[in-house]
Amino acid sequence: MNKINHTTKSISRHAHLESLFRGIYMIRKNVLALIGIGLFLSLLLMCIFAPWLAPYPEDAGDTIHLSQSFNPPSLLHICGTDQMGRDIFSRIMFGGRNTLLAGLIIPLIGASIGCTLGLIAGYIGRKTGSIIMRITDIFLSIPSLIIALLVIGIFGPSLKNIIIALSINWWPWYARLLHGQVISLREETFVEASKLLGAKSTRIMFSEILPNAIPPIIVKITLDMGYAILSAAALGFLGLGILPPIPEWGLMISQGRLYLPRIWWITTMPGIFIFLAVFSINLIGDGLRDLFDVEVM
Amino acid sequence: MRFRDYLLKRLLLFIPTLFGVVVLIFLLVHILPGDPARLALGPDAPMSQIISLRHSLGLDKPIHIQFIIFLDNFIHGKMGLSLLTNRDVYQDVTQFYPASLELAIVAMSIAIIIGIPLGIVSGIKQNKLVDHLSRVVSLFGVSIPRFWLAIMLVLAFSFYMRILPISGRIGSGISPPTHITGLYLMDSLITLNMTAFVSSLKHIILPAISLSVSPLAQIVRLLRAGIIEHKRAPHVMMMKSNGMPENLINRKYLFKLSFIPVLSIIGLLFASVIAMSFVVETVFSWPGIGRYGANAVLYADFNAIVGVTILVGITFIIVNFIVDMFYGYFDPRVRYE
Repeated sequence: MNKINHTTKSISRHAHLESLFRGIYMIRKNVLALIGIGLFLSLLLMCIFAPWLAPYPEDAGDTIHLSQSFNPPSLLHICGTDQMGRDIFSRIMFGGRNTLLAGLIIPLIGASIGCTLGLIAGYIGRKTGSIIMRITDIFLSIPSLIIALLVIGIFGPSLKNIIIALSINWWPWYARLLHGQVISLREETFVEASKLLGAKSTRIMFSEILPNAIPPIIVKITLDMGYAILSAAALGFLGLGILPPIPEWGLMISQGRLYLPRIWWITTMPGIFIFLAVFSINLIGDGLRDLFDVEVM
Repeated sequence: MRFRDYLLKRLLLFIPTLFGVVVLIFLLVHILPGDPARLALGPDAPMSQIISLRHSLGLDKPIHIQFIIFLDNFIHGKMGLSLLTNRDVYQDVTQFYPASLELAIVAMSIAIIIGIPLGIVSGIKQNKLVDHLSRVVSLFGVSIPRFWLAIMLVLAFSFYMRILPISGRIGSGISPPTHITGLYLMDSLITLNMTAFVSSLKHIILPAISLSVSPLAQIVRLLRAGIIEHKRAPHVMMMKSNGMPENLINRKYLFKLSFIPVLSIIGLLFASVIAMSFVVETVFSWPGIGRYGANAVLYADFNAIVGVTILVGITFIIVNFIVDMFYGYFDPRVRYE
């Protein structure tokens, strides 16, 4: 008896130690994710409160102070000034509102369209399902940025059209992801049970299957926010997004190109902010992926 | 299913996908509520001009007739006039296409040649210094905006160090190699034109590097994950405990298995390289369809936009077809799906 007691004790101590190690390991592993969250939130807050925080809020528009033009980065203008003498840091703060907005909204719209279709295709199956999945495949067979260009070519350039154009071709990924999940989940016993209890298909789809399929979707939405920011900035760089004088990160980079190589800060600074935003999102996404232990494309 | 049957099946699927892509692009253009004629002429154009442009673009006919005309022209190598170059779009895209293809191939080669060894080392030496370094590199690679990286590279290597050209495809004093494939690097090698080869190599380095960072990062990440996962697989463990040399296990079993997911995304990565070439070609004034397409969108050149989209779609389908063939070869399981 004593011996058994002793063994359980040592096992439980062992287990304690192990859970302690695991805890330390998780925190150590997620330090990066925490840094990501902190960085992203501060960028986001900086942009949201730009009108109050920006050192020169009036520079967001088309103000001109020619005497101040092309000042290199200094304490007065930490990112320097552009050809019109506007403070670049203030413009970055205002510009981020557009770039980050696009990055946050696009995956959400894409996910809601794609998940609904994937859920229907996976649960109902048969003809409807295979038609939806064929359409998904065709959408997936053209690079998404190309469809976006096509749509913007028809609608004309604007931020709204960038968001529409990119959302239109973000959904097929979610449709495919959820379709796969649903197919494996619908055979589970808990689905069978609620079917026997007489639950409606919509109830089974949205409150039984969907919650179980959520972790990979959350990870994918997070990682996609980074891609969406990069895509929106690329389209802005091509002049297909917001039109000047309103600032946007991609557009600012393209405007600064005219003054290279001597005036390097107009192109360099907004790029650093795009990088920081996407970098922090990727840190968060990687952390979530480890946490949920899922692999998404 | 034997490999040959699998190949045949994939080949048969190829045609409906191609047709589907053409239909999708046609529908997107014609059903979305934008008016290409009005967009091309600007908001102040008089109605009579718009009507006549609509007539000359064939936009006033019913949609199914438009589609038949569109298909008929497409098969005969006609895609309508480009408003920018005043030539048939078909001529334009076939002229600009090889430059983009060359760039994409070089970029993907860089990504594969560096990415695969880096991913393997990273996976085998998990949590060692090499691994941490390569993870940092790949995290940077997926986070950096490619057009910005392109500008930074030009700033560093062309403006400050002056060792690589700023833009273009070949030096201004050098005549391009005889047209055989349209790929300068290959043509100049075939004709043994070394001046042209060196010059085009110098021109392609920076744009290719800017395009390759993101696919490189994704290859490293995926390969690393694959190796870590399979390292502890039961059959690998068994081989190890039977005393099989580690090198042999790695080479013969582990790498092949871990390489499969990488192969499956190479098609996607190729597509992302082509899509991103729109911005990178603009930065380097690279005379490819990316720059042509970006200009077409900017100036609302309707036929050119459609032409570029279809060409990119076809390229993507062909690349995926090739990838699928390799896939069926590497992973016999997919032949039975």
